[in-house]
Amino acid sequence: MTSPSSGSTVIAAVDFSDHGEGIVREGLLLARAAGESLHIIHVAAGEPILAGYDKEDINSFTRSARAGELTDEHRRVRELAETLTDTTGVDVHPLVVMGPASETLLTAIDELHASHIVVGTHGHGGMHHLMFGSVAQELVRRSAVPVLLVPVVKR
Amino acid sequence: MGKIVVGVDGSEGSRQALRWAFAEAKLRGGTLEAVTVWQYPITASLPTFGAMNTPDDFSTDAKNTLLAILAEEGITIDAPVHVTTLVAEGNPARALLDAAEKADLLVVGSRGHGGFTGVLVGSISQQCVHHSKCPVVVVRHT
Repeated sequence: MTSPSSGSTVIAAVDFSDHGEGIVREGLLLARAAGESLHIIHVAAGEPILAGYDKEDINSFTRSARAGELTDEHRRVRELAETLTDTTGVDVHPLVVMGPASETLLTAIDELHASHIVVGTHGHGGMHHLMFGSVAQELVRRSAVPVLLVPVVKR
Repeated sequence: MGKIVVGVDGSEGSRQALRWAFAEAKLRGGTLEAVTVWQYPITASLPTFGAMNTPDDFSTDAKNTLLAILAEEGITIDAPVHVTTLVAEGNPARALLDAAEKADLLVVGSRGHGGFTGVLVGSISQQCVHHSKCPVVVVRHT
């Protein structure tokens, strides 16, 4: 009861969408208050499945394009973490992982012994009319640690 | 100075949310507002004239229950966090959202009194997440 949790790090799950800043800000507030570190995790989409295409040149083309994107995404997360560590005093770690978002994040909570997870309420599900995104919904249902949901800013 | 709003309905899930919210308010040096909501009971027949509780009765009962829960959780007026209480009538999600209009965080348990056993996320929590303008923390009922 004295401490919100027994974990040692806060996870902020970002996807570089409009409200990524809010997710990182809330993660920093939690981490700073508890004297914990912050992991900024970007869950990258898996390799596209090219049903119906079997030509090797298409596969190799998309693979190299995807590799380029991943390198770019990784660089952005790393730079963000470095900047935040320098400016906020919170120990911020970058992480890019590939896989299905909610499963990957649930695994990360376990493996990093996270105390909290911060996510946006829209997500990778692609159904933007569902403000409570499918990833956020799945995390709320299954995460053993408190989930902080950052709402989409209406434009 | 941040303000954290937490919904308390007396369920174990809401007590966990309260404990989390209190600890977080303490860590952040912010204030905590504990909100409880009452609704008119649905009665199948009209009670004997005069026996019907007045809104004041319901509100006082709700307030006393809330204060008792706060005391049981060790949250008193001399706590290191400035704690306020709010008793509202009506739709619980609406009342929580109104209370959290200018808050930094709205905290709810994943499941309160409502809903079926086996429901993982209560409908009030879901509505709060759907409609809140401020970040919502859902504390898992363990």
